[in-house]
Formats: sequence, C-alpha cells, structure tokens
Amino acid sequence: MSKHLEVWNASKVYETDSGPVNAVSSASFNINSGEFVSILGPSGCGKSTLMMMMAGLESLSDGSMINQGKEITEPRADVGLIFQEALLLPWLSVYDNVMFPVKILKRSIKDYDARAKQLLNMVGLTDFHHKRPSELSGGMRQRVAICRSLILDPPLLMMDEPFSALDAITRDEMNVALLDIWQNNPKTGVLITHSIREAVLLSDRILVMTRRPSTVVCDVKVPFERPRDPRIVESAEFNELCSEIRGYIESGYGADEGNELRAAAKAMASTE
Amino acid sequence: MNAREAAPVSKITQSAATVVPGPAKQQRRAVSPFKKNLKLVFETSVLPLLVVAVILFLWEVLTRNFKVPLTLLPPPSYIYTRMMEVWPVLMDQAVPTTVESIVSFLAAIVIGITLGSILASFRLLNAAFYPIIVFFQLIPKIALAPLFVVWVGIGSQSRIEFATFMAFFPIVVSTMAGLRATPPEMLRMCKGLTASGWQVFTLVRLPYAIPHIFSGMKVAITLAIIGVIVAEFISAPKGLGYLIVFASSQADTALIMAAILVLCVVGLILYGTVALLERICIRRYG
Repeated sequence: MSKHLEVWNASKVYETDSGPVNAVSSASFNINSGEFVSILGPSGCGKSTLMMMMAGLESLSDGSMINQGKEITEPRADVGLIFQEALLLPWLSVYDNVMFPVKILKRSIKDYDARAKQLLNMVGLTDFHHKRPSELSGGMRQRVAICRSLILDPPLLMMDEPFSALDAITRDEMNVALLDIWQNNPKTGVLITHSIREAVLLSDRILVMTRRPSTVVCDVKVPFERPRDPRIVESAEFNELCSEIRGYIESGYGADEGNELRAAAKAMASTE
Repeated sequence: MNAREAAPVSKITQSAATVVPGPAKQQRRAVSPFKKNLKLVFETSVLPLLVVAVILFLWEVLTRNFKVPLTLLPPPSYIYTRMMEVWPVLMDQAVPTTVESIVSFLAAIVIGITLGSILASFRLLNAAFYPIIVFFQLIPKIALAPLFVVWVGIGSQSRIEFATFMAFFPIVVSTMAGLRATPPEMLRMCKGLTASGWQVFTLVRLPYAIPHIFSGMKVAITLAIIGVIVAEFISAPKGLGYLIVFASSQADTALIMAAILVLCVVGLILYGTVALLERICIRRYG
C-alpha cells in the first residue's frame, strides 16, 4: 500500500503570555492510501491542532508533513475537510452549499450537478435541496457538510470531531451513515475523535494520543473485516478492544517504548 | 453476537393500565383569528392615529380659542389652506431637495462601502484611519457647512458634496463592522477550500456584512437629507430648505410648517424605501 500521508516529528508550539505551550510534541506516523485512520485522544491532547497542520491550515514548529510526496505548506483542493460545526453559508440553499467548492475552483456547476444530487440523496436529504441551513437540524447540516466535502471526490478526507456537537442518538446514526458513505466511496480517511467506540467502529487503525506530552503513544490495528456491520458494536471483541484502548489512554503518560503500557492495559482489560 | 434479552414490555403496559385518570381539564375558549387580527390592527394603527387626531383637534381648538397669533402657531386648518394655496410651489421646491438627497445618498454608499472595504482589508490602514473616522463621526459635521461653502462654493454640486460628506461616515463604520462579522471558523473553512482573498471577500464576507451595512444606510439617508437642507439654509435659490428660510423671513409660519410637513413626507418615503430594501435583503442574506 502506498503512503498517502507521512508525518515525521511534527510539533507545534504556541507562544502564550504564560510561556510556550506544546500543543503537539513530536508526532510521527504514516497513513496509507485507502486506510481509515482515527486519531483518538482526550480533550486538549492536540489532535485538532495535528489535523489543522495536516490540512495546511496551521504551520509546523518542527518536523515535516508530506501528502502524496509533496510537502504540506497550504490547503489543497484534493483534501476534503469536515469541521466540528457544519459551517454552511446561511444565505445559500443546501444544493448551493454543496456546490460551493466547485464555485471556488471556478469549475462548471453542470458537471457536478448529478454528483451533488446523488450525494444528497445518499445522506437522506432528497427533499431538502432548496432548503436553507436555518431550516435544518444540526445532524442534517452536518450531513450537508459531508456532501460538500465529497463533491470534488477528494482522495483524502479529514474530519475534526464532526459529530461532537450532536446529540448521542444522532451521533450514532451519523456514525452508521459515515461508515456507509465511506464503504461506498473508498478513499483515505482521517477522523479526529474522542469517542473510543466511534474510532473502533469506523477505523482500520487508531492512533492514540495523550496530553502532556501531546504525542501519539500507540498505533492500534482494528482487526474487524470490511465491509463492517454496524452491529459489531454489540460484540464482545469490539468491547474488549475498546477497553484495551481505554487502558492505553488512561495509563499512557508518555511514549510507550518497551510496550510495557500495552501489556499492562491488556492485562487490565482481560480482568474486567 | 449475544442475543439481547427481550425487555419486559408486558410489565410496563400492565402498570400503565392501572394509572388513575386525573381531573378533567378545563377547556379554554379559542380566540378566533379574526379577533386576533382586529386587536393587532387596533394596537398598531388605530391607536396611534387616534392620538394624532386628538392632538390635532386640541391644537385646532386651543389656538383658535386663545386667538394665538398666526405668526406664532397657526391652527392645522390654516396650515392646510396655506398648503393648498402654494401646492405647486411646494412640489416644485421638493424636487431639487429630494433629487439632491438621493444623489448624495448613492454617492455616500459607493464611497462609504469602497472605503470601508479597503480599510477593513488592510490591518495597517485600519489602525491608521479608524480613530480619525470615529472622531469625524462624533463631531457635529453640520458645523462644517459654512466651511464647505468656502471650499466648494454654492450650487447644487456643492450641496451634494456636503451631504455626501455627512452621510458617508456611518456607512464606512458599519461596513467595517460588518466585514468583521464573519465567524473566523467560516474563514478557516474557506481557506481549507483554497478560496482566494477576493472570493472570500465577495462570496462570504460581504454577504455577512449586509445587515450591518443596511443599518449604516438607514442613518446615512437621514443625514443626507439633513445635509441638503442645511446647505439650502445657508445658500440656495431653491429647495425646501430655501423655502423654509424664505418663509421665515416673511414671518409666514404656516408656510414653514407646510414645507416641514412635505419634508417629513419626503424623508419618510426615502427612509421607508431603504428599510424596505433592508427587509428584502435580510430575508435573502439573513
């Protein structure tokens, strides 16, 4: 598998009034083409900052990031982005919001018309093409944002806690919807989340981040087969994996060099 | 996958059947929509009109009863007859005032939005000029009218220039405030889409600024009218402001009031047009 994203020794330091703050400390990992990788960690561990750097929206203080062989210095049109808020333009209809990236790149709207309608139908917004964002619920707006990020069919899709602002029930529905979308439109996916279950359900690999220092402590492979059935969340293997990962997060106060933490967490998981 | 245990549904439904029904609710009589509309019309239109009618009535009766001199405070009926006498003249003088107000307003919009956009887009220019603009907002610009006569002379163009000067400040300030109103996350999203600065300005920042710009425009139209009238007071051969000055030199108070009345109507129509445009645009860009 070829490498889509290479991150080496990435760091971000913010100068604040109370001194320098290490938002991200020496994170290194690779993401292969076609993989769905979650970056999982508690609030404040720097995972959003890491994604902003990978998207070209923040500069690196140290280290390097490479997207398909080219250094990341600024945002690229072949990277789809979804943020925590839907961020739809309030005066545009749902359809026009989905078409916004096409308009920015000055491409022909007609070429993308069929794709926009297909995407909106796929997320269940068939009758909402002409509605305004103010007429939609939070979950529906986020679905429009997902369509907008997919309209140009980018090979890489990055999502920063896209469902954090939604209620738990909608969030579960959106997870299933995202799984569905991704399995029908395979591409490289990066998901930032603080939900262990969400990460295990959706990903091929999970990069666990902790704070202090804010770095990737371990790389967990999710062994479940593709295409994934959403009902695996009920299975014992799923929940064991979640407990194991929770162990890493709770005990990981530093980069795990001798795999001792991993063994300890596994031991903790098997006795629960 | 573990088989889920069937929830004990029967237990729930059983307990629901044994709930004792509470006391019967009192039915409230529904208010008919006709009555609701009537109340609305009464309160918003009829009531204020009634107050105005009472004031006019009292004015008429009291001025006639106490034989108040016509040069001090003429009764409304006298003002009306005077107005009808000079109606063609009133209309003739209303035209230049209205036209100059509109032209000044439009010029103020163009200059104001352009300047506001430039200042909002370049941080150093913003820092340099913003305090000066605020300073000019605060000083009574009307006091500068005689200065304008010295600089640009008298005549239609100079009146328009003065009124434009009065009217464009609120538009600059509101444009700058409006362009700051775009949520920063939205700007970040646009940056992520590789939008150029110009695209962000025209497609995102300007639409977000529209409600603010309209607030500034409503202030600007009133200032444009004031500017034209004051310029006419000082030196003009025509216009409603000139008519007011002329009438006061003749101690023709009724004519003064008639001219003011026409001026009010002009002002209301122009302001109302801007407010209506605002309503339409807010609906689209709100």
